[in-house]
Amino acid sequence: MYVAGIDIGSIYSKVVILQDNQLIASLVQRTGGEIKTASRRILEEALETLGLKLYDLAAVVATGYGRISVPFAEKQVTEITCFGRAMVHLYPEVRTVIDIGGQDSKGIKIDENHKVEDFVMNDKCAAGTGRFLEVMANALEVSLEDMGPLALQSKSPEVIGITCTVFAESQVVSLVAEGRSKIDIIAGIHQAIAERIYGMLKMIKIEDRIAVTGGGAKNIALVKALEKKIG
Amino acid sequence: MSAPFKTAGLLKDLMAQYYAKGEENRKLGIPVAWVTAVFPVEIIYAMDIFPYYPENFGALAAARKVADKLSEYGEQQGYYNDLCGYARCGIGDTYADEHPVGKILPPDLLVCCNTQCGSLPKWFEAAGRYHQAPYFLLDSPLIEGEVSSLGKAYFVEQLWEMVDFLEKTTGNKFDLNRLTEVLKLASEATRLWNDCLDMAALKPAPFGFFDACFHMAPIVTWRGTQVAVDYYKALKEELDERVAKGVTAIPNERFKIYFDHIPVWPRLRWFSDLFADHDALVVASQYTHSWAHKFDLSRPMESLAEVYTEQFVNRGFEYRIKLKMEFMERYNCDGFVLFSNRSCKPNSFGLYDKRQVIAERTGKPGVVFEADMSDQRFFSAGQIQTRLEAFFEQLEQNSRRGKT
Repeated sequence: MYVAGIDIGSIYSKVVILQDNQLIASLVQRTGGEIKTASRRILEEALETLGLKLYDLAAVVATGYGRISVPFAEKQVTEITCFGRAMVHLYPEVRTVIDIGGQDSKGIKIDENHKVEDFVMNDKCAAGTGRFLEVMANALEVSLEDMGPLALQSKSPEVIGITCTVFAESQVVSLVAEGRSKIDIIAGIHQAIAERIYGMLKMIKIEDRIAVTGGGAKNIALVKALEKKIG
Repeated sequence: MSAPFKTAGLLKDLMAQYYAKGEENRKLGIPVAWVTAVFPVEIIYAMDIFPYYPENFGALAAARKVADKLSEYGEQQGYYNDLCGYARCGIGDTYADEHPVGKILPPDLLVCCNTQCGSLPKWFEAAGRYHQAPYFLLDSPLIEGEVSSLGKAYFVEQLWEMVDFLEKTTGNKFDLNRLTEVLKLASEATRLWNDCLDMAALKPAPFGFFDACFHMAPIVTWRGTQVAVDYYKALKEELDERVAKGVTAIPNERFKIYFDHIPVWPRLRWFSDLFADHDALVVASQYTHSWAHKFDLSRPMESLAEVYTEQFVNRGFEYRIKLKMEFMERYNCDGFVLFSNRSCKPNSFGLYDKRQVIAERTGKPGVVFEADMSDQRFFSAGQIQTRLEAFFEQLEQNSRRGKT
């Protein structure tokens, strides 16, 4: 039996296809404009690699910001519950999930039965999320992938304000104009994000073990900064 | 929201009459006093003064989705968008050259009680200056822990000062016997209102919080008059009828939810549909219960002081947690939703901590979302929907595990 999960995030969309609970295909693409067509396109592309069609799937579950706009999904489930479920399969010992996505950062507490016990998310403002990092990478003309490794080289990170992405961007631009080290600026950006996420996480009681998910998990400096904060 | 109530037609007529009556009364020599929602309006009625509620105007404009437009006129005068949405909207209407929900009624005098917040007194003060109308502030001391007899005495003293102010400003005379009559009517109306609210405890319920938000106008506006008593008698009868006929607030009620506190007026329907889609009925809120108090007719002034100073917004952290938990118990709630309202700082204060404490003590899931009660510009649907749906999924999980 084939089943698929589709996660329409604010920046990236992800698809997984499972056969009898085994992962057999996955695909990540930028979400782009129109969710209804984008979601069908990405799923069909993933199915194509297996020589399957949409009608071969016994069930499709949609999650993520765009979950309500996936017309062919049987069920919509929030990312929060999905992370809880995912940990049953991936890391059953995990009790806290830190998800750093495009427009949301989340902390999710999972109990011993893999039930979502508690969760917390950033409010409307998207400073401290993946999008923030992307905007800063653009402002500094550094590729998103290089941001993490560069940050790790810094000895004295700059202090970056994080009340507003737009203000932080102009601060970064001024620091560059003043001739400050790009590496220190980048390190400061990572620290600022980590602080903001950590502040939010304190609202739920962080428990071992911890998993970091979302695009932010791919950033080594961000993960290390969070590790340092959490201790 | 429930199928339309017969009483709803009556309410619309009553409200239209009320808004028309302000100017008519002024022509007849009856002074128009601006009052706040949680205020001893019984004294105003007892002195034959017409009470006008600018906050209702704000809620009306918000429900009609124009509060943000009117607020912009206030913001152009320098009133920052962090201030209370009702205040910005009311101030904005004064300066606006468009009046989509009618024009706010200018006051002959203004009376305000700060038991609700510190924004209302400032708004009224500014309006008093603008309209060159006299203004009286009832100062309600904050109650952190126990209620003090000193605080109560201080408030009673001010009630007498206010009576003096009203007599001098309007020329109308105060009579304690007349006040007792008004209090009797107010008690009767608040008792009936409370009975209506309690119907939400039935499972399935004929009536929920979103319905109550609609039907609360008379208890705010006319408590102390026969109009409110008659209205809630009619509503209670209709609710009894609904129970007899098996008419329910939502098609498939499985979960009962406590909601704090004011609704997001421009999105009332959006919220009520989202809850109903997940078989959840909001059954109680401290907001709609703000006018479900009792008076002791044997000591009118002391009783007024107790009712209006001991309101929840004026109380400490622990009291407010207990109050929410009491409602959750009384209405048998499966979870709770706390609305961090940008407009209402005193109620939003400490909400994340309150959520944590209540969740720990009750073992029930709860969620906080942020928005504004009147201003749509602070509403982010995707963020709120994800939070609420994750909360509904928690309720489902609990229900499957037989916890609820």
